[in-house]
Amino acid sequence: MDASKKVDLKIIIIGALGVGKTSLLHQYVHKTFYEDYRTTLGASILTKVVAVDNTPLKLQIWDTGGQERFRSMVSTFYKGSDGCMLAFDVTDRESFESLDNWRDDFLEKVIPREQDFPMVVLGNKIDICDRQVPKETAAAWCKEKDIPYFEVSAKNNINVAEAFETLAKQALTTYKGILESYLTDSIKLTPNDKPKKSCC
Amino acid sequence: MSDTLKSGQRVLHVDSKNYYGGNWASFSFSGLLSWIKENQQKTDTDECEDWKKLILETEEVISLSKKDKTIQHVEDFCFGDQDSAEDVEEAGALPKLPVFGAPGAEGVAQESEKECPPVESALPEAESQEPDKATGTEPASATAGHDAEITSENESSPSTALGKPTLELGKTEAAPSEISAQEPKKITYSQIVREGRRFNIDLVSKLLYSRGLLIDLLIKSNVSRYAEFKNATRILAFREGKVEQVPCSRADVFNSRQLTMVEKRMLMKFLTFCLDYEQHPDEYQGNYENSTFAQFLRTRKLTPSLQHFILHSIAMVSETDCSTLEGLQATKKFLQCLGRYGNTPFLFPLYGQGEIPQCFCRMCAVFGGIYCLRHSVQCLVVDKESGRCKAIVDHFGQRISANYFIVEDSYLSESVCTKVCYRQISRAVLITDQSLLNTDSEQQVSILTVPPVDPGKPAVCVIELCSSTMTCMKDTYLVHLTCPSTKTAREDLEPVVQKLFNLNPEKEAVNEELEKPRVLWAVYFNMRDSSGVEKSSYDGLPSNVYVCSGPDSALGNDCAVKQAETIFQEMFPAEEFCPAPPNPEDIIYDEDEIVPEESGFSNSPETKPESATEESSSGDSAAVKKEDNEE
Repeated sequence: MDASKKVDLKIIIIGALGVGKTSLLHQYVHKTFYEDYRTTLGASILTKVVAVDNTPLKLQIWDTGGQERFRSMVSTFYKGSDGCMLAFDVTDRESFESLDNWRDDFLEKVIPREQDFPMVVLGNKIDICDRQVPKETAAAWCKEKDIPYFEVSAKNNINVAEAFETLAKQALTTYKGILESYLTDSIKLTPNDKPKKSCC
Repeated sequence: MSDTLKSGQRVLHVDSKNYYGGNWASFSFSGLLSWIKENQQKTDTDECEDWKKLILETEEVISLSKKDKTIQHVEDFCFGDQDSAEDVEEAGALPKLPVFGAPGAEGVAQESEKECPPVESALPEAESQEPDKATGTEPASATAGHDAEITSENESSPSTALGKPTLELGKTEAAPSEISAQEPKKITYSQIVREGRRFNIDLVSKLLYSRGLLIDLLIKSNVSRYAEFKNATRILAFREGKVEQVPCSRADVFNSRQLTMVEKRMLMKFLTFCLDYEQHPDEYQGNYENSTFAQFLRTRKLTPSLQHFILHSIAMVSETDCSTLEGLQATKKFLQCLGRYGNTPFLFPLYGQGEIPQCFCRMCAVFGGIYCLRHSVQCLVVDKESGRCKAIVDHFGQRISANYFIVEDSYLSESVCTKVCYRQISRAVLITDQSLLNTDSEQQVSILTVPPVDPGKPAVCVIELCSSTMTCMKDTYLVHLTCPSTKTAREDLEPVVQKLFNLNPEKEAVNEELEKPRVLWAVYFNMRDSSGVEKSSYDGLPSNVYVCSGPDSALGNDCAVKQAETIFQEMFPAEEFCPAPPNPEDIIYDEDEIVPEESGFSNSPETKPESATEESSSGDSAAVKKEDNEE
C-alpha cells in the first residue's frame, strides 16, 4: 500500500442516549467539553487526521444524530464503516446492558466482510463517583467478545485518545487486508467543486 | 420527557415501517424477499388501541390507511437451483464457525464463537451465527430473540412478526461441490442467498444528473457529506438486436471504433448545434415547430443509427410524442451534464438510491428532528370550526399535536383518494452473471434505453450496476428496468428481458443465447405513481395537511425536489429552502434553553418525503406537548 496516500476510514460511535458519545468525539477532535447536556445538535461527522504506523489516516467519525433515541438510525450510518465504538455510561447500568443490542444492531446492519469488524468499548464518565457498572463487569463482557475495553472520561480527557487510536490502528490493519479496496474509490461532492467544461 | 420550546420549529418524522424511505428504500437480498412476501400476501393489520376517547366534541377525524396498497403484481423468479439453497444461511458479520450441521452446537451462540478457530470458506453453510433479532423489536423483547439458529436478516419485516424469508431453519449441510472451482464465475442461487447482505436493491431506479436539482440540493445543504457516488460509465443503445455503446462526449466520438469518419463528423456537428440551439432558431423553427423531434432528426443528415442514438439514448424522448423543441432541450440537458464528474451525465449513489432519503433524514435529525420508525398513525384530528388539522393519533393511542402535517400519499385512505387517478410504474430487478456489453473493464455502470416495439408506447430504461456500486455481490450485476406501466410489470418488461438476457441458464443454449448474460433471479412489480396528483384531487384534506407523493417514473429526481420545495414554501414562505447548515460552533444557545433559536433548517422536508407525518410547530405558541414516546 502506498504509504503516502492518505487512507480514509469511517468510524461510527453507538450507544444509548446520553452516555456521552458526542462529548467523547468533541474531546478527541476539538479537545473541548461542555458540561450541560446537549443533544447531538449540529454535530454529525467529525474529522481528524492522525498518523498510525507511518500512514496518515483521515478518520471520519460519525455521530448518531440523536436517532438512537427511538432506535431509528438510518442504515446509511452503518454502511461503509471501518470500525465501531460502543459507548456506555458507567453510572447507568441500563446503558451497559444495552451494549449487546447495540453490538448486534451494528453487526446486522453493516455489510459483512471477510475480516472481523474492529470494535472498542468505552465506559464513560469515570469522573463521577457514583458508579453502577464495576470495571470488572465491563471488562469481563468485553473479554468475552474479544473487544478492547477502555475506561474513559470525556470531561477530564482520560484515555479518550488511546481508545480512538486503538480503534484506528485496528481499522487500518483490517483495511489493508481487504483486497477490494478499489471499491472505495468514489466521488464525493463538495461545495468547492469546480465543474470542468463540458467536453462536447 | 416532554419538551417545551420557546421558539424555533420542531420536526417529528414517523414511519409505520421499520425502514426508511417507503417506496424509495433499498434492501438486502433477504430483505427484498421479505418485502416481496409481504406484498404478495394479504396480511391483516393489528387492531389498534381505542382512540375515540381522545377526540373532543369539537373535533372530527380523518382515518388513515391501514395497509400500503402501492405495490401490485409482484412476481419473483429464481432461475437457478432453488432447492440447493434451502439450508443456506445468509452470511453475517460475525466470524465464521467450524460447525458442521449440528444444531446443538449452533445454540451455543456468541459466547463460544471466539474460541473456535476460523474455518475456510469451503464450508459456507456453516458460517453465520447472527442472533435473530428483528431490527425493530423493542428493547423488552429483544433479549428473547437470541436464538442463534435463525440468521435471516429481518430488515423489512414488520416488527411484530418474525417474517422469515425463504431461508429455512435446518441442519446446515456442507456442500463443497457447490462452489467447486470448475467454473469460477458460475454464481448459484445459494451463493446469492449467502452473500445476500452485499446486495442493496433499490425499489426505485434513478440516476442523478450531474447538473440537476438534486445534486445542487445535496451540495447546497451539505447533505452530500453523507453520501458517495460513482460515475455512470456508459451510455448504451439497443439496435437491431445488439447492444452498442453510444459515444457522446467529444473524446468518445473521436475514439469510437463503431462510427465511420463521416458519422463522427455528422454527430459532432449535430451535438455542437444542440448545445447551443437557441442561437440558431432558423434551424429548428418554421417547418419543424410542429413536427416531432424524430422527424426533425431525419432532416439533419444523420444516419439511422445516429438518429437512434440521439433520440433514444441521448435525448431519451418519445418517437411519437416529443416535439422538436422538447427534443432539443433534452439533448442539451444531457450534453451540459457531460464532463462535470465524468464521461456521462450521470452519477449513482454508492449503496444505491435508497441512501438519498436517509441522508436527508440524518441531516434533519442532526439539527433536532426526531425520528421514529415502526410508528403508525391512525388518524388526523381536525378541528370542526376552523377545518384545520390539530393532531394525530398514533398506533399506540397517543395524541400528538402539531401545526403542520406532511403525509405521504400511500398513508391516505381510499375514501380520501376516490377521485385520484393514479398511474403506475412497471419495475423489474434482475441479478445477472455478466454485463450486457462485455468490454475490458467489468466494473461499469451503464444506462440503456430500449425503444418500444410500438412507437406510441413508452421506452424501457435499463440500468446495469456492477459490484463496485456496492449494490450486488462480486461477479454479479444488478439490472433495473423501469417504464411507465401499460399493463402488469411482467407483461411490460419481460419481452425486453427476453431480448437482452438468457432466461434459460440450465438448458443447452443456442450460440446467440450463450452470449447474453444469464438471469439468476428476477422480480417484477408495479408501483403506484402518485406524482403529479393535484392536492385538490384528495377529498376533504385540511389546508395545513400537505401530501407528498411516492416516486415518479422519470430518470432524474427533479419531481421530488420540486415538490419538496413547493410544500416547504407553502408552509414557510419567508424561509429559505434547505440552506447550508450552520457550523455547530456557530449555533448560539440561549442560556435557558436546550435547543437553539436558529433551527429553521430542521423544518426542511426531505427531498424524498417518505414519512407518514412530519410535524412542526410554529414558535409563537408556548408549548408543544409531546406525549412520552419512549417504550
